[in-house]
Amino acid sequence: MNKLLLGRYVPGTSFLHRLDPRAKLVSAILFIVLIFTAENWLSFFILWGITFGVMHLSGVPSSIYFRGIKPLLWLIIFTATLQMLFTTGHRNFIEWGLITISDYGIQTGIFIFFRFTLITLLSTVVTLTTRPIDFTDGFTFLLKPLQYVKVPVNELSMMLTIAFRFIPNLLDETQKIMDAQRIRGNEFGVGSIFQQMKALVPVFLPIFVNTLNRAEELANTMDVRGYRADQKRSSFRKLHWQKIDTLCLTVTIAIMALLQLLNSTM
Amino acid sequence: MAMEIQFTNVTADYKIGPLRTAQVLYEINLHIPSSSFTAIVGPTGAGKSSLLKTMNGLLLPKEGSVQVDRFLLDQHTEKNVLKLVRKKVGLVLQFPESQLFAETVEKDICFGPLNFGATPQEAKKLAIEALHHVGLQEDILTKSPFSLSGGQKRRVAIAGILALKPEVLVLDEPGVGLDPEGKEEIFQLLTKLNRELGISILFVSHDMNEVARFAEDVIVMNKGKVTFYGKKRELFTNEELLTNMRLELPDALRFQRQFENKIGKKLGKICLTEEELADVLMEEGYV
Ligand SMILES: Nc1ncnc2c1ncn2[C@@H]1O[C@H](COP(=O)(O)OP(=O)(O)OP(=O)(O)O)[C@@H](O)[C@H]1O
Ligand SMILES: [Mg+2]
Repeated sequence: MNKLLLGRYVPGTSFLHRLDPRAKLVSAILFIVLIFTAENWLSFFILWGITFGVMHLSGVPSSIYFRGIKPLLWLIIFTATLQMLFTTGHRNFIEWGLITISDYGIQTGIFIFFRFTLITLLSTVVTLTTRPIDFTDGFTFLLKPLQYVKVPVNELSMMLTIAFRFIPNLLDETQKIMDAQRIRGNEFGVGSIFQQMKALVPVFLPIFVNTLNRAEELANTMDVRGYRADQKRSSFRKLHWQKIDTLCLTVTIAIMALLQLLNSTM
Repeated sequence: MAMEIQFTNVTADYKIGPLRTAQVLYEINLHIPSSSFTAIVGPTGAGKSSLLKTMNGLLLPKEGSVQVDRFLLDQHTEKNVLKLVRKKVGLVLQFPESQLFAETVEKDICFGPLNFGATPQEAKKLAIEALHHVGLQEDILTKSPFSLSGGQKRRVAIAGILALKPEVLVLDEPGVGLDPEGKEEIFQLLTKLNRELGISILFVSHDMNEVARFAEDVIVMNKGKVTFYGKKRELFTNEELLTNMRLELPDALRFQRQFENKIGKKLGKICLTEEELADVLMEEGYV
């Protein structure tokens, strides 16, 4: 758990750190759409290139990214393999009961592998370079239109802010509790899956208790300071849209158009 | 019981996900003898808690090694060796009461012994013994740890470690957050364990009165380095060292300094505790 990189923020001053969270979010969403709709090798080639470029721009070494997605890699490989084994195509190399390995299956498998890996890497880049608080601000801004259909956007955003705010605490606390139990001879990550799950049981109770306590404290603190959910609120932080943000979005859309063109001509 | 801990050129840092923090321990060399009673002091962030964690394998040295008894702790130490070390070196983390988890006190205290292979009967026996050590009655065994007072919780948590029968007991700020009486009791307990069972005690503290009263040796840490290791009297009699390390004085010594300033004369002996001070004042005829 401690190895997972997705969802962490690493302070820095890179180009990506300075982008407006709205620009980053929209571009990331567009790229994710692109990755999902990519259907040929050339598109994937370009997308890999862009992902590497963005990873480079973040100023965090690629080796760290790959170590960071390792915990997810098995899941991705597993999904891709399933795809490979159960898809029929023009030429079937092996047919054995339900299992078929075909040219089409292999390609789909590889594409699925690419898709998940690329999406994980890209989302990691976004969370690595965006402060959680900016992330929620950007997110809230993008959700604003939903207010007109009576979605409680402000409350959602408050919930999101609080959730983000407490992720590090929760991780720290989990670490502490696991340490406290290691000291008393509880071993994690050894033995069968069943044993590993069993070792985790005593971790959950204190986390639960502490989290509930903290939630109550927080609610009290908010009450004491006069927080009311139903009131219109202004924001202390302001997002600033700059030229580089427009540039970033323009480049993203240009790439989108290019890939679309490639798809339709091939 | 020969249980020594030897630090050889230990450096260490933490892993946060795939990233590493800046170094938190630099080139630590220490030899902690059997049956010693040592305080670890220093400003926040000095690496005191981290030092404790290296003694028990929660934090493994990046370079160098920690030798506990006949076991060597470094990057290559295997999990089963870690487990053996953890049985020998009991570590009580800061605010250990927040880590209680079982439905009953009995289950919580038995958790450790059971993990180390005791039978349920043996575990219960160890639990009762540990409870007596920390001055709690057996009737608490069936209660929920969450229903106890802060001081009781702390003691149950310490009992959970004592039930492992460690040969070295390492505690991170054991007195913090307790009332004066609770603090006193914890330190009396530690003194007893040290004298009667020969268990080595190491504790982190910010309270120089605790250090002056209960410890024999002191380790001073600053910015990840050990800047002093020796007898407590050696530390408290060394003015230069104390000011360099910005350490507070124990109340008795501070009183003595002021008293000496007022009368313009030094007392015959440097006093670390109120008792010593009272004795010296009597002897020299000031009261
Ligand atoms: N789990 C952790 N992950 C990352 N860094 C840590 C962790 N624990 C401690 N550190 C860092 O290690 C350094 C030393 O911390 P440590 O807790 O050992 O200090 P300390 O002397 O015990 O301080 P205090 O008196 O405040 O308890 C600090 O810079 C801290 O930020
Ligand atoms: Mg500490």
